[in-house]
Amino acid sequence: MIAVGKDKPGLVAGVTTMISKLKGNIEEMDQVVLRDVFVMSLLIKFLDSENLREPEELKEALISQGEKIGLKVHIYPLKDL
Amino acid sequence: MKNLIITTVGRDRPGIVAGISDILYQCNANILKTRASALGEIFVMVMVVDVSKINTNLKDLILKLKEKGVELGSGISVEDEETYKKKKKLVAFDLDGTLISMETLDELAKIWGVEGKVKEITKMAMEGKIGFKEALTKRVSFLKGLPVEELEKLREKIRLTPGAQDLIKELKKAGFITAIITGGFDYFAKYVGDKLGVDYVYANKLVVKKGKLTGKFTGNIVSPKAKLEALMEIAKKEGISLSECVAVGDGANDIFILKSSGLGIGYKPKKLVKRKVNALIDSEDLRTIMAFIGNGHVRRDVIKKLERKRLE
Repeated sequence: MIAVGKDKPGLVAGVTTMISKLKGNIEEMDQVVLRDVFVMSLLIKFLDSENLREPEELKEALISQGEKIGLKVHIYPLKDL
Repeated sequence: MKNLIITTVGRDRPGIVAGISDILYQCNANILKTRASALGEIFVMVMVVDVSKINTNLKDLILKLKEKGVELGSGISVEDEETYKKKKKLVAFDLDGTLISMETLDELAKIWGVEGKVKEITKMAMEGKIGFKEALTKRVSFLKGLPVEELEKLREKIRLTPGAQDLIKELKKAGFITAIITGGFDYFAKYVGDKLGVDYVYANKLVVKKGKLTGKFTGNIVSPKAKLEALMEIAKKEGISLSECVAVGDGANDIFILKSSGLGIGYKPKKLVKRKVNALIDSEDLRTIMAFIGNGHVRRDVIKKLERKRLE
């Protein structure tokens, strides 16, 4: 997952809270602020056993919740890369 | 602009990044960089945080972060950028409660049937009603007549704290100088030091006559200040500064050494110590320390990024 937007306080908290609410676990994370631009990349694992949502649903949930806090979110399933 | 570096390390579980970043958000601190990685079961995270616009005082923020670390079952350290980047060269450990999971003086008292008396003095010392030196002198005096064989027997029962052996091995491999500085006794400290291959051991010595303790001791590791002086002596010998030293301890006796070193790490510390240290390990094993000061990939990445920023 990659999230990009204008930097402001609360973005890391916003993104990671939404991930943990969706029962995802962060495996790797790298985040920087370049000038005023917030850039965050994450490898997230969603365990099927804890998750009843379809991958498409998860993707949409992350994108729409990201939008609410002003971030453009892109999701790439690892197997497709 | 003042930046803080926050490191957390502990068993991987959901909500670590969320928990820490939420506190920072509440206090209006801005996260500039984060690097986090799950290494098997262990999750390590380092954050670079701008605290120039926080809505609370820095002390309270740091206290909240430490509390959150404990709640999340992670070790946590909060340092400023300069001390974080500084390469650490020496690690000094307290003995009782830190490298070994035993209070040797209390155990000796138990064997000799003077546990109650000793505990009373310990309590008074902790509450500041009586000086450290006086307290030690009194407690040792109660041990008069104790046969040396009992010390030997107790020594066999000493258990190292979880991860202690591996940690010292890793530290030595990474080129760190190691030391034990304890207000306890060399009979135990030297034994543990030899077993682990620790470079320096500073401790007091119980005086023995005809196979029995006389109730007296020699040595001058009798106060928080004396512990710090011992560390300074080692640092001088090695030609390094205090800011390159790391101290690990748990008791009131360790406060000076923890506050004056480059990084002071409280290991399962007493309440009073908990508030004062920059780094706190409350539940995980001692190896956690490597993530704070070692050359693991997460810490290396962050230092590289910090250096790059400086060049720009």
